[in-house]
Amino acid sequence: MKCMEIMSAPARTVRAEEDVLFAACLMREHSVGFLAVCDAEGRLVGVVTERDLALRVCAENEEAKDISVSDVMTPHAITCHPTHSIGEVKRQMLLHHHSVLAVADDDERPLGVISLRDIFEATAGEAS
Amino acid sequence: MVWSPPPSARPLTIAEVMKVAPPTIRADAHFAVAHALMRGHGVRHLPVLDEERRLIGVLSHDDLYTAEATDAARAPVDFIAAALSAPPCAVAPGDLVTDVAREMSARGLDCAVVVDRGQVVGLFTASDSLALLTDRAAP
Repeated sequence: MKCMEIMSAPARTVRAEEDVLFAACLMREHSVGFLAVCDAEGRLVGVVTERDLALRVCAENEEAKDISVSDVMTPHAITCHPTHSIGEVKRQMLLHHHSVLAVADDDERPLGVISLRDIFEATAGEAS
Repeated sequence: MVWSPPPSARPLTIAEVMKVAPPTIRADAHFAVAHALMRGHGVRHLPVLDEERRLIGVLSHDDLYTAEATDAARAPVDFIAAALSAPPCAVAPGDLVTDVAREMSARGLDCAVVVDRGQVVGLFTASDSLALLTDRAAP
């Protein structure tokens, strides 16, 4: 089974220069805790989680609209390719201690997101 | 227009924003029980208690899937206890949200457990802090 068969698509994305409040509202609107961060050309430059966004603001008591996504994102994030096998994606997740990865094409454009939960449920479905 | 709290606004305590009386799980429970609890309550974190109902950890759904991906579920040990990845962030109801968020951020944790007189009384997660952030900015 390949990554593209079970990933969530499309990827929810945010531009690196947007502010944290915008990204937080986007996460709540789409009920996700993970966004792919893109540059002006739509190429992946990082990822950001709800913990990156909200805890930073709450902890520092800063104004969310005064902080840009690029300040809190994880740059150069580990990604996987849509044609990677589920086994390979799982190995990458466990190796790097990530439970969610962005799926990007050869031009580093985000296509979707895959989680350990997706893999678990797909594997459980295969077994049953 | 975006609303911002005045600088003099009273700081929030965790008791004001936590989820009250969250579901908990025993350390010797099986993974299937954890899955059912998380699904049934729509949560991603379960405080883990010992036989005397004292907090010994937090099981996240990431811990659960990671353990299952590494086949820990097949180990003949206390299943939930084997999946716990980090000491829990235990806080008091009167602790300030800013202080708790700072500790969670520093330790890379998504969740803090609120404990009062030795008993789990609440839970505060990164999702709750996201809701706080967006609600605070609502017109």
